[in-house]
Amino acid sequence: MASAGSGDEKAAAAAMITLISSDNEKFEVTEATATLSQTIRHMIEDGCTDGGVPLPNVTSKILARVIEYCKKHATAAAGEEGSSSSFSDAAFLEVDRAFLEELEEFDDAFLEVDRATLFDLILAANYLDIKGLLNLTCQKVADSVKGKTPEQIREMYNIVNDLTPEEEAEIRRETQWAFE
Amino acid sequence: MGNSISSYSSYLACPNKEMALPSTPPALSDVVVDEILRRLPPEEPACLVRSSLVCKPWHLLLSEPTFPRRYRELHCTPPVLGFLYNKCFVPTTTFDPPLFPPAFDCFSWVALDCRHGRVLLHTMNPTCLVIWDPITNEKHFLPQVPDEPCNHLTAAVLCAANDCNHMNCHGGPFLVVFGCTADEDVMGDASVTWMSVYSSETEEWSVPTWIHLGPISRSQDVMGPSLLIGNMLYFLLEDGRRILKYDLGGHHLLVMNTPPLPVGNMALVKAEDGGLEVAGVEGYNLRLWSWRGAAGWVQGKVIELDMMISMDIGDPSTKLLVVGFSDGANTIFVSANDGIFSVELRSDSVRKICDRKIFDAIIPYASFYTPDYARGRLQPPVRM
Repeated sequence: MASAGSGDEKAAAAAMITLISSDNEKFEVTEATATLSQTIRHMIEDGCTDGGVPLPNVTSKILARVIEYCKKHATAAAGEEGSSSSFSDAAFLEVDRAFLEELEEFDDAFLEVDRATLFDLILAANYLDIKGLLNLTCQKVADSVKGKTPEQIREMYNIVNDLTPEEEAEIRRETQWAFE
Repeated sequence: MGNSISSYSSYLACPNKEMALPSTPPALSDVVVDEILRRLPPEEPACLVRSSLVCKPWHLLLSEPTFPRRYRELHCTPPVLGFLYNKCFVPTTTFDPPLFPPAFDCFSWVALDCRHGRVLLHTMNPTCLVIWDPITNEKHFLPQVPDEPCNHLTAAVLCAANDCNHMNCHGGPFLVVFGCTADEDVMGDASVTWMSVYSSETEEWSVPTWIHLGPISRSQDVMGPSLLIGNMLYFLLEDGRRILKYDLGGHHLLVMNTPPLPVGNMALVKAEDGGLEVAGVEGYNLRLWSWRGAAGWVQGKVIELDMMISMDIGDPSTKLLVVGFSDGANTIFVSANDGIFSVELRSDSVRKICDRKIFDAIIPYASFYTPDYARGRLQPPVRM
């Protein structure tokens, strides 16, 4: 999935950036897609993208998913900007709603991944500073914690309990209501 | 996860061609765990408490002094944790924080209002207005209200701080607006209505503002619940036949009509654009009407409750009643044969919050319950 530019894209959006994954795979993406990442946006502003942007923290498997997310959301953002003058208010709202629904469906399907991939996506979203993706993936983990006991949460995410029995007893004593 | 203390800047320095960037840490960094913990659902405060028992890094992150403020800022809207009804706090959470009403040395009491983290109670014999903070369990007894004629009363409590986002102001200065109508039974010829404001800063009631409403309709609630929009307090009068508008700045009283909705089955609602709305049940639908000034009442959103609440359509015993509104949580409460349902107006999501069949007004309590609140309440007060 190296080439992201398609012929009908506007010339302004056609500036291409090359992203290089930790396993040395190259991904060519439009600037509009790449700049959903604040990290890459800063690099473009600083003129540091010639010869490609190495991302040694992100594997090709994860980078491909991240680019998939950014492409979809960059397209939606461009669509919203472009449609403001050509529709009546009602038609604009309708288009807006359709966009949002489509994005929501995309996000839901995007999150259908195993936990290891989800964690890799969180790390990549944080590393690349992609706010929407970080929000989406962190919310998924937060939702999965809802209604679980501390033991279940530890088991679910392979977390070692390093609280001493005394510390644990102290916290439980103060907040007994949450366990009854 | 969570055991790595390392965190790294999300801003990459300009790399030269050969330079490698820092390698991925094996576990989620504290920065990322903090992002996850801040997204735990406010409507289930037990999630935060249970998460603090997962491991030390999680506990430390949740104990950070800035965590509660950042948590509230991310979520913005405080969740409804329960409601007051019949001298009880009825929790709507799965695991209930210790929010028990205080013990009073009085014959009886009712909750009149709740806003910005404070509950306004009215005790009988002795008669007194009391502000109760469910988080700290503190009580504040108000001095006697002005000695003016009264046989129907209402009251509202609100934060008095300037430029407040009302996310954590429950310990600050407050106002209580007390409104009374003395109808023809008391006055003989013509009814009178007055309002007075108590300020916690001056510890005094203001000189009452008066209005003549004309003949008062026989109603269950002559003086109904309030809604705060900007500097205006609106009160539903005579089960929704009229609205009383009180200007907190200029201390003026004005009367408005209401949209054509069934009397005794409506609530004042704050619209998303900050305007005044009235919601009422008609058939199986929740209808909203917006106040558009010179254009009057304009019909707005219709929420088809029969699509969201299981009920026997056509069965004459099927009842739907608007029982409350929380302006903090932007949520309407509707009682059905099956229990009480919350209708969240921003998302139109309907959720059952209580199995009890209550066909009376409830006073919803909306507040965050962050770790700083959860601690320091070692001994829950006596349950009534």
